[in-house]
Amino acid sequence: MNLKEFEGKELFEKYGISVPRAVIAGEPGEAYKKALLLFGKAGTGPGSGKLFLKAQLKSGKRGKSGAILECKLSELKKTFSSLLGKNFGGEKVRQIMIAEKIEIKKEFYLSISVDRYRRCPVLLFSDAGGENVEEQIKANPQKGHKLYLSINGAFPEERLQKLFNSAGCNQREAKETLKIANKLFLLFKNEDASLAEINPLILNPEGKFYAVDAKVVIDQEAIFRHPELEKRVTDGMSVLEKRAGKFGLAYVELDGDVGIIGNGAGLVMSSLDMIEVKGFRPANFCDVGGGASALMMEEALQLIRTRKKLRGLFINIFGGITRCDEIAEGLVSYVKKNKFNYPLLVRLTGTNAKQALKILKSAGIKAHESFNEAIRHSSNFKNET
Amino acid sequence: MSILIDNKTRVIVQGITGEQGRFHTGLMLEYGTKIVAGVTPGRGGQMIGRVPVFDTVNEAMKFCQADYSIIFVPAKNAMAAALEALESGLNIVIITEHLPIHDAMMILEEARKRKLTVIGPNCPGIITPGQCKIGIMPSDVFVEGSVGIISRSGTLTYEIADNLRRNGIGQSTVIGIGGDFINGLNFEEALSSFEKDKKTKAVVMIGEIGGDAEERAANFIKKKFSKPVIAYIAGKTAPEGKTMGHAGAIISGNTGTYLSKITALKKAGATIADTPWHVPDLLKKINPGIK
Repeated sequence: MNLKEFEGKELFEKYGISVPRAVIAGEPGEAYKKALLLFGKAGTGPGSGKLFLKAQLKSGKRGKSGAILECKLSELKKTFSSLLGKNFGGEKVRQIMIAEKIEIKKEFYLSISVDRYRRCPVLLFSDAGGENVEEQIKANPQKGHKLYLSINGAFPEERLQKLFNSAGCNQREAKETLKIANKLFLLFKNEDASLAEINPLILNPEGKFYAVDAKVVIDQEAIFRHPELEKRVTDGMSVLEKRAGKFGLAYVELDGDVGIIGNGAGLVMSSLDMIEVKGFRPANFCDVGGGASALMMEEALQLIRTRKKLRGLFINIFGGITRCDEIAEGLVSYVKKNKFNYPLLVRLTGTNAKQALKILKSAGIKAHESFNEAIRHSSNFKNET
Repeated sequence: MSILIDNKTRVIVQGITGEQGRFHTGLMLEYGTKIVAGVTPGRGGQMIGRVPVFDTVNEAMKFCQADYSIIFVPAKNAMAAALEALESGLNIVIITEHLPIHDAMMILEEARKRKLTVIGPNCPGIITPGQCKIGIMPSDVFVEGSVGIISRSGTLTYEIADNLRRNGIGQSTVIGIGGDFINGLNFEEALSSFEKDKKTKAVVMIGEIGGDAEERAANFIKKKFSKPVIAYIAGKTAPEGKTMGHAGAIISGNTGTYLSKITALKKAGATIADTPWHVPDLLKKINPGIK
């Protein structure tokens, strides 16, 4: 679950990481009032007197895409209105953060994430903070300083201090950065984060550090430990994806015109691939997982059928814990109640496949036992419009 | 021969009194797996068929020695169960789905310290056909033979093993390593075991988009693996940024793509199967006598 900047910064503050003063607003009048109250008429005190307007989005790269603007308090309403409601990669701007501008003496990058290969947390630090830090590190690996951490052991303070030193921090800066890293790791552990990133981490001329942006990703599977986040899990999901979740199904919308139902992520992905080889594009898919009941199958069919103008539906089941007769019963029951005006291509094999084929046959539904053979019959999809 | 497990492997089932645990204990016993005890806190003293149930792994281990524990415990308590098994010196197979990433990291750190094997989480388990099954896979698609299988996907493993069986090819050992963001035993570790196993003549690797496990496996194949490898990778047409059913199956930017994986594997000398049903033919092309 990707947190928005202000949600991430709320967590930073909870763990004592300083962030620039800021307010959040959803409309220009409110923005002006709140900003005036916090910053006063003169703007943000020392420095340029300018404010940052930052669209609150789940996607990154906001600077490049124009989702972060700069203005004076007197121009706030106008600039705010120009940003509000804009669309960035399918995400509409509903909330904007108005933050003070921090003067930059030095810029850093600091993050803790999960290393999939080593199966442990990894700290990444660079003295090249800002938008292009990933590209910079890629082009110039010695710019990125990495340290693998123990999820359960002590925080390696000495090694980190050395790391910060060799990454271009002086003694005092290294000490301060270490404090921030310590807090960030606490946040990472306590909040079940899979990413906690400060980019940029800015040192101002007065010698104070600020987390100027926050990118925090919380592991969805750990939400049971964070009931306060439960409501946010479904943010950004479509109505249908939410509904699928309730039934224990994985439903994903794509942009083609063939629906796909299968059991198990690998088999479903393979079904999508094979359908594409035949010249079709998947419109959506539903993974019924392991051990699906007839009722879950009906729900999966209902989800797929919400998509209009399909050319066909491919059902691909290899029964392991999933019983093919359950799947067949769900399918027959659904087809009796609802009409499909496009061809169904059914492939069933594995546990209780014989009974399943009988059930389908008696309802007049043809089914294949082999994946390969089923795919060959997908040419039927072409005849329909 | 086989890798990791054989007909001498003794197994404990954690979460044996739950619906899944009970059901699959029956199937594993039927297959011939030596299940010596079950564990469910608060249920000590019960029997599941002929298998005695204990409150803790420690108590079970006092009653009978074991090598592996298979964990069916729901996600909220799975970490505690896994750590308990590791502390008793057991290798573990975690069937549990939806395990938090931090819990997986805790388990894997402990296992690393103790040099124990973890298979999973979110996996179908491991089977050495004809000898031992520690998992939930349908038994009849697997037959004894000389091909090792390592896979990130359950049903796709059944699909490919079934295709092999229909073509007269069996397996030495089949491992489902799981579809989560991070998992225990990885491709390289499994490959390194298959390299040492005399019975294994070739390996089928079933990967999918997301992460760089296949690229790292390719690197290993190039340097340290001498047997033929056939690889099938699912998710060729998956769009960027969508989680494709498995938590670990997600393309982020340029990493985890199909192209990057097959390019690396081809360079390492592996043969790429474009469809699941091409795998048997490709194996026979390399080794006509393979069984």
